[in-house]
Amino acid sequence: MKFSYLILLVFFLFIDLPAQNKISFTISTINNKKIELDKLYSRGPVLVNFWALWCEPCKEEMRHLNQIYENYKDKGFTILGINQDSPKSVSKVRAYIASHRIKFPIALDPDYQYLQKMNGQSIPYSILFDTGGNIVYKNVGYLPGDETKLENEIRKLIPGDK
Amino acid sequence: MKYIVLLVAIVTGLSQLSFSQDVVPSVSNLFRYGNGERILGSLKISQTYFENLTDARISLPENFVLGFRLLYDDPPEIGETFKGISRRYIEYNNSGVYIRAGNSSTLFGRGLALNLFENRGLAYDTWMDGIKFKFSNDFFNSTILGGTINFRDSITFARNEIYKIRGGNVELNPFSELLIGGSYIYSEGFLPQGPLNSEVPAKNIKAEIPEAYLSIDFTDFSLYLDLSHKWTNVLTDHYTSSGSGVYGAVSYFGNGYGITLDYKNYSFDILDPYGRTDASRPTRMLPFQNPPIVQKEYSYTLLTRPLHEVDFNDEVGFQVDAFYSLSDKTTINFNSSLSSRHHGYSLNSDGYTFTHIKRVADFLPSTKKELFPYFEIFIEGEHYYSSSSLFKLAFALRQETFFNEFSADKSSIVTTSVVAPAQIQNTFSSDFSLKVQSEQEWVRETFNTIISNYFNQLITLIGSFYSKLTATIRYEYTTSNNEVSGKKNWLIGELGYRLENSHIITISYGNERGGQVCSNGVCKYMQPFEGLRVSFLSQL
Repeated sequence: MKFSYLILLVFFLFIDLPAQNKISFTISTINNKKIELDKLYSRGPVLVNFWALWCEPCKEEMRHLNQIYENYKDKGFTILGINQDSPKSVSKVRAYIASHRIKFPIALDPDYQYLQKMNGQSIPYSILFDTGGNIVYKNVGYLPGDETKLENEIRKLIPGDK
Repeated sequence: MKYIVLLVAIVTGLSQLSFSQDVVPSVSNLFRYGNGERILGSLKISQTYFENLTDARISLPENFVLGFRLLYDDPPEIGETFKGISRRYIEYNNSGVYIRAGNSSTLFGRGLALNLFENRGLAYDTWMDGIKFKFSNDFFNSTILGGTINFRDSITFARNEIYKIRGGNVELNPFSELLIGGSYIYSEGFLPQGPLNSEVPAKNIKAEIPEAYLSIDFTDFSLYLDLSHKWTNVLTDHYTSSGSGVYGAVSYFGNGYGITLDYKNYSFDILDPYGRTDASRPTRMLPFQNPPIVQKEYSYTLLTRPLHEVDFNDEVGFQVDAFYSLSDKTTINFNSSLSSRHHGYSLNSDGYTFTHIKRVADFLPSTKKELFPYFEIFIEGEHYYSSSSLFKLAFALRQETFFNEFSADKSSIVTTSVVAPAQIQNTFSSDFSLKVQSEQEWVRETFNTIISNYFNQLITLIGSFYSKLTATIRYEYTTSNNEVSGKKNWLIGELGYRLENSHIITISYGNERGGQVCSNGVCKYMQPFEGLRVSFLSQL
């Protein structure tokens, strides 16, 4: 039985599932603006990032994402941050965003509906879409240096910036 | 073995679905294994757990989604043994219409009437099995739902409560700054008063919970107010109990600062000290309600071991939380909260009855010991001295008072905890960083003239290599003589490896005292354990 599980784990490493390309949903930001994901990525590459206030790696990553957004927003790139705080802390999100001068749009997902749509189990979780809605990069967790890899992936999607 | 064959067949089948352009599957998988020992009270018992959770979603043509969870918990770390499909659902979502049949979670407002969610780390699960219909446009959201909740008591797993719920929620958004909402929940519950074979008769209840809320959002100001009421008719005993809950939050923010004031006034079931001791009573706040705790959610391990459990049946309090950026590199977070019970109870001279001592200002928390006050103050400074290198310093003071209402001498136990975390993370290059974290806690417990002091120290070292590999060592030490496990030292080593950005493998060996830990780029709540642990997370 245990041996079977080892086989299962190796199996998971090598299976090649098609990505959830062209996925779309409508979500409200903390500023009460409705965002349709397909309209967002049709205008340029989009990074969807799931994060929460209780998650220290998320907040560390958020600082880098803000910088990346500032660097590439004029080239059509955008970020949609989807906050995963439950009702315990969701009231503090706007204060956190303002105080940390986060410029990209942030939406709330206190019952994890959107994380479930993207089949996420752990955060931070980042998904990069190209303008065709194809998922070109995914990342679970945040470790120092991830921002460099992400920036390289974004540059591949921006014409004249490879 | 059947489970393995089924799982492999399903995942292989899903990968073949890629031949169809309109059928898109996605799978996430979490495998956890542990082999060691666990301390339960004075007992040290061998424990092996073996869990595998597979969540699959298949997007079908015509806006349909099919999903299921294949679960193998045999044996689980906590909770009950389960092998098979634990969740299944089908969804339709198009042009503002959303229908889901099967298992689902749901949140209305801030959860004062309905908050169906799962926390596997605590074996808490109130997902519903039923049907949910939602319609939304730019000005209007509405939800109607009905189904059954099979709730396993997360303290006594053998106790299994069943609730049939029906309800709905309407939100009106006449203009972008204003949202007005209302919910109504009707439930019929079957509440055993003990384990399955208990001779204590079960209670049947009918409960009704209306809720109204209001949200106002401007550029630099937001307000949220949520009110609910609960009537519980205990059919078995022919009486009705009622209670209510109020939650409010006000935020003011601008470029570089933000402050939030939260308020709670939960009186879902105010009872005397005798009634309060029965945690499974049918009149309590029901498990599918779950309002905000109005306390800080910490990420420092020692602070995630709570001194105070919020009593949603009888608690009033507030919290202030403020962020301020001194510069782009330096941020300060301040948090403080105070809570207490609404009223006191005084033991009469007969030694077994109580007099209810009402307070006029019962909408505010009190610091009087008879009202079980709890307060905490937290301040944290964070400074980045380069783009990825930082240090943090924090200080927390928490104090909980437990008043002994059954004693004539008005004795109380006061627990005071001071925690001082410090952390430095130095990123030497994009390939190597080192984090050192130290958390120290001084605890004082006073029981009348008896004073007990002890000290906890946690040191964590995390090395991160090539954004793939992490090596962690955690060491904890205590001087407490009342530690449940009898231990003084805990040492654990952990290796984590991230494969293809979608898989995280973690192997650890040693003693874990428990609490939330952040390692390998993610955070998780760890149960106390001694031995080998393996986890494998895949988000495909």
